[in-house]
Amino acid sequence: MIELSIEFAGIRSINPFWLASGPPTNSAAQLNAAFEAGFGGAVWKTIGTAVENVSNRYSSYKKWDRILGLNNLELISDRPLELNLKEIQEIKKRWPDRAVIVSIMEEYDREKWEELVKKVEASGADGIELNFGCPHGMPERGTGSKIGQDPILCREVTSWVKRVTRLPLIVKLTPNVTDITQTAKAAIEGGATALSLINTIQSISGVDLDTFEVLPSIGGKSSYGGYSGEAIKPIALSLTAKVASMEMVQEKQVPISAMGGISTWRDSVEFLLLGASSVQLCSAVMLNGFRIIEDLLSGLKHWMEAKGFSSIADFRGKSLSHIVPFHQLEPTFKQIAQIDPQKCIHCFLCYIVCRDAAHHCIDLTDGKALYPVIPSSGKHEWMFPKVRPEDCVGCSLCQHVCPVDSCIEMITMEAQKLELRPGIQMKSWEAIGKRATGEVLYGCSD
Amino acid sequence: MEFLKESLPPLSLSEAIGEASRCLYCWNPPCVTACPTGIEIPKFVKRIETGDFRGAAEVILKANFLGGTCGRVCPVEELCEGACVLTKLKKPSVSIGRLQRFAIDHFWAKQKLPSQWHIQIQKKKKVAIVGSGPAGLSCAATLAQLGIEAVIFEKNRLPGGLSTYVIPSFREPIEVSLKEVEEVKKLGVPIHTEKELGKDFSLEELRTAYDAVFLAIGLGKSPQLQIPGEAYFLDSLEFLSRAKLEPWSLPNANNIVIIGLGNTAIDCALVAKKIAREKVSILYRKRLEESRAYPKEIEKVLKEAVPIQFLTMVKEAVVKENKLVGLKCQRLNPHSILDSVGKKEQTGIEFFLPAELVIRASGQQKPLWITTMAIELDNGFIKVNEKYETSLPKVYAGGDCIRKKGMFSTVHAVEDGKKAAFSLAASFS
Repeated sequence: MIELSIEFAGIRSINPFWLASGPPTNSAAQLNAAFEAGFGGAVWKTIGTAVENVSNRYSSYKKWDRILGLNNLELISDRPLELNLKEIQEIKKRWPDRAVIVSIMEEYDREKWEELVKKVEASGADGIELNFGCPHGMPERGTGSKIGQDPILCREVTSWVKRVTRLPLIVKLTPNVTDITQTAKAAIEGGATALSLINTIQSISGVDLDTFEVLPSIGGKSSYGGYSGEAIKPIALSLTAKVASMEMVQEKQVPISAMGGISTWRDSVEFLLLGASSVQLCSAVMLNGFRIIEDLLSGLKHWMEAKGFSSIADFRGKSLSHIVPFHQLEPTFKQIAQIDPQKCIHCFLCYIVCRDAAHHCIDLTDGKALYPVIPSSGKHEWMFPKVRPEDCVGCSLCQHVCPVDSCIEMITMEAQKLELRPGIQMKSWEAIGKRATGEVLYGCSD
Repeated sequence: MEFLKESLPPLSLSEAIGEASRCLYCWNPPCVTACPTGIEIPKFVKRIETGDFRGAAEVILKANFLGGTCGRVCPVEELCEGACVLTKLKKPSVSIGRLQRFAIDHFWAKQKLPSQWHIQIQKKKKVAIVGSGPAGLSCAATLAQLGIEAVIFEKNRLPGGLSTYVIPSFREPIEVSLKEVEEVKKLGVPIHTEKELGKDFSLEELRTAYDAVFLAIGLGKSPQLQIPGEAYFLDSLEFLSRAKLEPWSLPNANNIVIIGLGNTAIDCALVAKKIAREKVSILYRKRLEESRAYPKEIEKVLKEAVPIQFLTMVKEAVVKENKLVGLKCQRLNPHSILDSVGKKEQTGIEFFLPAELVIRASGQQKPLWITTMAIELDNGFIKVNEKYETSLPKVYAGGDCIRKKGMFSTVHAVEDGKKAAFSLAASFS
């Protein structure tokens, strides 16, 4: 029996998939449709200080017809506060088994925050998310990522809210900082019961080469936007792992709701494996609609079945132990590339990248010896890329550029066969550090 | 008129960029090896992908001045696209021909050749080029870019050779061919039309008046079948050129029969089908596997539902009241052909095939008059060495008139012209 339900900082949700605060969570009608489709929860689009939006608000980073990333200039909710609160109340009543969390943001004014929190609490919401991450428009007014980027402000504002609410308090972190663990720590110290990350990454998605305008062009002008979508997933994964690995987070068991470029169940599982307790989606819904939840649920369930997991907790954070400081990586582990001549299609991409950007260890050899049967015509087919194993450093660049499935494989070498390059001996990092400076550089602190 | 339009629509901007993005950007790629003119295909394709259409066209034109024609008429399945590594992954190859057409059309429509391509012609050496088809134009364009003076003599009213007169409009509209002719002229090459070698001037005169001669005279009409009533047949080249330039002059016919199954015969069948929408059929003396037509082309006629009668020969034309009404045909015994090449026993049944228009498309003949020139021939074609030199000093030749075997397509003629120009330039220095 597969159990997908979770409990996140005391909030119950029938599955770990939540809608992130954003355009899809602007109204009760949208949440109703999302819950009907199957989403486990939603973070209501940030309410609070009054704003005026612009038109248009989006630009995309595309590779031909495929959107890699979305850049937005949309501000927090521009609907009347009272209407938002009324709809939040209605939707929570109608969907008691779903998580309804309200994202809030106010100017740097304690009374304003306290007043807003009280109103949200009265709406019956399950929790509060503090939007400390919006990178456009709001920072200029002293809020959004302006607060999220400063650990002191982050701690202070969190504590203001904490003092007036008993609801679970989630602080949403901005990635636009040098060290996210500093702001994560400040949020927890300020009283956050949970963390969510990441908010959008400040961005400019492009420049029009004909008009010289920056995109999106709002009457000829633009501004720094927030970047989201598939392209930011690797950044979000890394920040999630960093926060999930923090001693303070682990000791206090601070749950993390992760987001940033999630569009499939596979992406979701990766975040859960790196320590997230729930995941949030926004851009993927903006590009495809609520219907994607069916595929997310199906994929997750079938993967859990195949792996023998019965609940999310069974595998949450399972991959964190595979991250170590660089100097703890095994220097004697050695792989070399091997090219399958039967699968090679002679594009020679491996050859050219190895020659120009790696370690010059792929030769073009006469294929006759490797390929007894003459393939179809063309003299190049007689040429084959072949790895010189004694010079291959196992960087794997060739494998990544190869367009053929499993044509290039990285073969793990046995330890005793490692002394291939004359004059090079495999040593531990400690020994390498010692040799360079006369004292141990690495491996002291851990 | 519908049949005068190109059958493949041009790629839109987004289609072109999308298609270009499929290119793997192979290093030392087989598509370039397969291109007779050696166009750096991945380079121009990448430039299309990034919106540098001018840069893309420059890559093409540098290697092949008639890139607009070749992008349309090249048998790409046999050449670049057939070699594309994507086919080995069971994926469709990059549409190189259509991308080339996109880049060149875009270029000629809006832009001019870069100024450094217009070399000051030095009036030291002068080359006479006979024939303004692809080989002649390519030779002239290359010579002009090397700063060597060249003059083209063309026997027809319009320049461009087969591209202007014979290649069906659905493959290449006449404007494309004439635009390329214009661009060659802009490089500083005069073209004298309605000047025919052997009639208006002799080879000897050219040799005296010029420092070198390049013969790009192509081939002649289909050989006679030597059967009664043949005078009522239309030659394939004449049919195609009338269909392209003066379609109204073609006779009305309910039944059109094409004799032969080469690439020209297929063009005739496809054009006939487009013009007449009547019963079109092909008669072929041999078997399918003996046809020299590209498989992709045979597929096209089959898709157009043109019946092909194999192992069938025409015995005579049936004429009533001075009008062609049909053909007397006979099936051939397949075994007798297999057993004794050249001794085809006509043992099959005889039958009558109604036809008001019969097109003879059984190969192109070598122009008879070249035998009267004191130039060495090889099996009826002009004999040249690897430098495109003929047996006569200072006389070079290229294009269909030297192509005694293998594939011959426009692109091969372009390469001949280009290489011959380099040989000529080398001989002058």
